Amino acid sequence: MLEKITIKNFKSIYNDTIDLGRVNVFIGENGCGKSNILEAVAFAGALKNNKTVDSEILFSKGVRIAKPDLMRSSFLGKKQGEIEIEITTNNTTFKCLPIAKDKEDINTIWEDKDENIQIILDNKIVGKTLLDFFETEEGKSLIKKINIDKNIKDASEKLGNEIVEKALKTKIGNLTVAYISIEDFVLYTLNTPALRGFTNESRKEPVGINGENLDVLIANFTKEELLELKKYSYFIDWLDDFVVDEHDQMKLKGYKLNRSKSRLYFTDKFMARKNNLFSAENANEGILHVLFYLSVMISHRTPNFFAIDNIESALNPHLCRYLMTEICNLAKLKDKQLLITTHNPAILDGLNLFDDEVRLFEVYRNEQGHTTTRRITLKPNPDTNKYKLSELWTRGFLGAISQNF
Amino acid sequence: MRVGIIAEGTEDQSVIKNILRAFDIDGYSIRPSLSVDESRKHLANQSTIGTFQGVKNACIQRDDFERALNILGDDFLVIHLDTAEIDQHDFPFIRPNKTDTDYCVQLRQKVIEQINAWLDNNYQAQLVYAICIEEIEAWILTLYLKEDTSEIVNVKNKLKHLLSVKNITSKGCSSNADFYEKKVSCDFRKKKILQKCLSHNQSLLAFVESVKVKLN
Repeated sequence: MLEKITIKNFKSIYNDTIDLGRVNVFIGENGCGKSNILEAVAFAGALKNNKTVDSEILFSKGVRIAKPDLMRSSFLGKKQGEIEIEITTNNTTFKCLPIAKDKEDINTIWEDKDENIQIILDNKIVGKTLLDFFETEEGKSLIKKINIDKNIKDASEKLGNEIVEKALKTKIGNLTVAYISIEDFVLYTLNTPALRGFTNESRKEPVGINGENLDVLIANFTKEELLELKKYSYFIDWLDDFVVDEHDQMKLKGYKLNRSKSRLYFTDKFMARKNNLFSAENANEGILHVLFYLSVMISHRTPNFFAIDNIESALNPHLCRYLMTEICNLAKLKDKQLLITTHNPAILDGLNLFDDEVRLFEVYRNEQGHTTTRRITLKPNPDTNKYKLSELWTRGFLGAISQNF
Repeated sequence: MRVGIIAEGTEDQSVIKNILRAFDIDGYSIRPSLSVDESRKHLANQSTIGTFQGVKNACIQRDDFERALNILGDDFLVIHLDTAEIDQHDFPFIRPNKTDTDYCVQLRQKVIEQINAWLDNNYQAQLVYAICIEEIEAWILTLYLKEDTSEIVNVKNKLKHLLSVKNITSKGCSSNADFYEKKVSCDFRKKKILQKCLSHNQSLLAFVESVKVKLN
């Protein structure tokens, strides 16, 4: 897991450090910079994956693109600095230093000026770890095939991520895993037309950042994953079952117009048995959002580290609470790490803040307008700790509310 | 550090927030602004929502104290009362003689004792008392006048007049509380200015001193 993120000079974030848990929920008033935090991580992930990125790649990761000078922080009386995103895991830090090739062009190529990957390779601990691994029988057989004098990415490509990870994990824990996690990081911002298969703007395997390809993701589930997902059918009262029509046969039978690409179908337990099947384009928003979140949590194909912006969208408050609890449980079970933003107090009631892996942060603008985060923790006093977090938030005790009214 | 504020009115909260900011404390509103929704506002006796009675109710009910003090890092609360209208309420003491040299100290102490009585003497270690003699505008006037502001009669009108003379208007502010926070009392955020103000109002000095004690 990633332990700490420091973001400098990115949009509204001048300089902020966040100590992460496994499930991290960010709350704050509109425009305080919650989404900017998620985007900064997505930016770093895109650059660690590609070394140079264009606006298309950034968009596909969930980053809102602006002119380069607006991607960098702009504050009254402050000289603009370069973006710097620093990620720490297992006491090892790596940086991302994005530089725009053309500061005037919104479609510019961004390049990571950081040489950290080389520093990691030069690091004595990592070097020795790799050498030790290649002293083993498994390592000896591999050393004949490759030249370890290449950078870690080349080695990954030749050996496969699993072998390099195995070598590094034996001695230095999760450094490589962290690196891979940040590369795969995406920011999901769901919208209903995408979930219904009407739009395809961010079609990215295994699932799009707006919810495209949910049907494909589910169709590629293992049998166990599908069983696990179906366990949660109780989340939606009317839901009897759901299926993915692999060959899109239902369309021919008139179950949907030719507008939606989704092959996801639902059956309703309250409707007549022979007349209770309908397509994703006719389903309500809630089922699609819930199914998406549970699917990305359960699937082995989705990233281990990702973000969800405005998780409460289209969901009933009571459902929000129990969905959040299950997301926390699944995060541990599936070894996933999440950054989540919300404006719905009910989401907070699904969090156990006495579990150190579950963290809640207030995001606010300080007096200079800089986005700042503050972890919210409770005193473990069962006699007086009788108020729901949702209530504490709406009554102003947690902060994260508008001050102008 | 964050500190919750239970005050008579939203303007009072604004002034207290600015004073706390001089010590890098983020003050946040507990009462009156967030305690009721529009439906309950409609049903409730308006006099209990904000005002003196609202503070008294908060003390007697105590829910807000428990809520605030359960959050790690929120180690004390500010409780505010103006003394201007205490005679209209059920205060079991006689107001000290205004000619007494320690009138402010005596009156402040009596109001604190009454607040503690409402609280059955709970939470004392976690409270900072913002007792304004007689109204919070007397504190604000220290920003604009170099004299003992507790002796000024009708401080609200005096402040209004001074703001008008200095052409300080509420233009661009969303409410009177916003006006008080962003314009009228915003200079309290500057520690040096606040320090100069203290010599012109005894009850302001007492409040600031008690904040300093909590920080040590």
